[in-house]
Amino acid sequence: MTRSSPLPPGFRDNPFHVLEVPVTATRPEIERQGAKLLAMLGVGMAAARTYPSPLGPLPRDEDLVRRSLDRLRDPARRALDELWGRAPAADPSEPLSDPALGPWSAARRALGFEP
Amino acid sequence: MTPFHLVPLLLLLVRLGVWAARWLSSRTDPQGGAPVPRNVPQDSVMLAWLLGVLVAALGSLAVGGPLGLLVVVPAVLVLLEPSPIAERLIPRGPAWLVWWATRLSLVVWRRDRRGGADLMATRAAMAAGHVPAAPRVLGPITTGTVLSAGITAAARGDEVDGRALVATSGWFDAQPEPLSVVRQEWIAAEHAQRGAWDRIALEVPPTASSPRLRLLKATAERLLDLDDAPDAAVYEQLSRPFANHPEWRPLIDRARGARHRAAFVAPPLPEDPLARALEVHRRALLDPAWLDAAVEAWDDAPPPAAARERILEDLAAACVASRTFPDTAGGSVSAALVDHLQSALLTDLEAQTRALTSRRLAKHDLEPLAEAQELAWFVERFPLTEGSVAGAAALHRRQAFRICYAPLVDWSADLYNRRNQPYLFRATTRWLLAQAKLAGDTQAEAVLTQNLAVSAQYA
Repeated sequence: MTRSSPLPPGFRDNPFHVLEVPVTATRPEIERQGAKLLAMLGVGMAAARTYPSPLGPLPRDEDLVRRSLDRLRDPARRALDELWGRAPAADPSEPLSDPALGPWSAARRALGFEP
Repeated sequence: MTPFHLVPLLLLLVRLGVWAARWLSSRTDPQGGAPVPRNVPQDSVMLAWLLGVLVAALGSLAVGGPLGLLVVVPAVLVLLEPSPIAERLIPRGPAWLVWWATRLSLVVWRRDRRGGADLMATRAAMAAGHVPAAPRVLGPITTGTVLSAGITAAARGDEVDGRALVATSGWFDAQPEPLSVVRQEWIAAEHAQRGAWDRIALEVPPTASSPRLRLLKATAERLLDLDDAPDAAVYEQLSRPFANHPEWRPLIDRARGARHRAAFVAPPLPEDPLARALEVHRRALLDPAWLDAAVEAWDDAPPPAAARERILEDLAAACVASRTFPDTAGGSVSAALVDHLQSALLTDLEAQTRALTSRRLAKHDLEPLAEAQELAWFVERFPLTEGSVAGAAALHRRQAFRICYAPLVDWSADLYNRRNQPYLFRATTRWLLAQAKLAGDTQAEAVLTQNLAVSAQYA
């Protein structure tokens, strides 16, 4: 199957999360925030290079900010992105399943399958 | 009698030994024709020399020869089976020495010396702190080399390729005991690395010969708080040899305190069905343990049409990454997800078999290891033909098998007839035969059984 257009972003790279604005934000608020982020990225501020998302911190660059601004300028695409944009950023300390059953990240090293 | 007098006796013994080995290991070609040698005689000369030296030395001692000949006995025994020395050298890391010590093994690695040498040398290199290059294969590729390549690929970060090659090594005929242990340990480590403790508890036999496997099984049982999990005293005994190991210690501590712990309570979910589905979906993308719940939640709260494809794509990617199939049925989302996964798989299988056939017809040969990776691709993807939606699993398995059957049989026959890769041919045929049985294709079963019979001298 070939898609005519790429899939819309879900939790990953959702424009509201990328721009760190609520789904209720107005157009001028969104544009101001976009300009601010582009300026921060332009001077290489480390804080702007990642954004908090429902899947944890994700990388952000100028291109992603511009694409997010474009999406939110289109009312139809904005309505779809609002569905995912309501989710709060993930709290990395919040366990989603029993920590006792979590992965053992050193397993391969312990058994000699990694240096 | 002086050692000088032993020389003619020794030469006679060696000659007789070589003849005996060749006679014992030859057989008649099932399709008629001259006797076909097995793959053993290449080492029969060395074996005959070693046994000849041993017999001559013992004979000389029996008739009053010099006691100095006693030195010959342990020396011959070490040369007959140096693999225990190789095992002990692995933690110290001299890969080339381990390679040769395993390569010279005449008993333990008898069925796959070259592959065993590659495998043990890879482990020694890892112990020395580096990931070696994938083994170079010039002749027929064997079990140990495929397993070694899988371990190396995974250590370099290529998880899918590594897992596929490790699984593929299990379809070769030659399975020396130490090799099977290494594979089981690697698979158990892979499960532990992603927290699949239920798989360890289920798949590792209680009688596993490796103490590390037994400890992993006991740990999994305690973490899962199973009824038959070992009690504290038994666990202490199992874990004692590893308790001071910096990598093992945190896991052992975790398992010590794991039994009868308070039940885990996940963060609460929203009441609204759509908000609930979104939250469970988010959790499923972070933790595959939530996948079934996410599918169920979307079945209960059908998503807006515009978001449906994104949801299916997210869930399908999570299923493939965690190699789990949604264990739910009945809702529109779960049915669409199973359909999405299986259609994608059938499309992939068609594309892969088409490419394989084109390459074979163009006689575009790959290195033996790359040819083994072709089989590995199918071995890794095929379990995804299973599905929990009633009726779909059997149908898709049959469809998937029919797509792969003829192209893989032709490709493996080419490996056997033209490329001198009998072991890879047999591994492919054995894997296909197992799939034919699952798909209920009796005609294919008969052909594949015949192919195995024809190549039985390489078993």
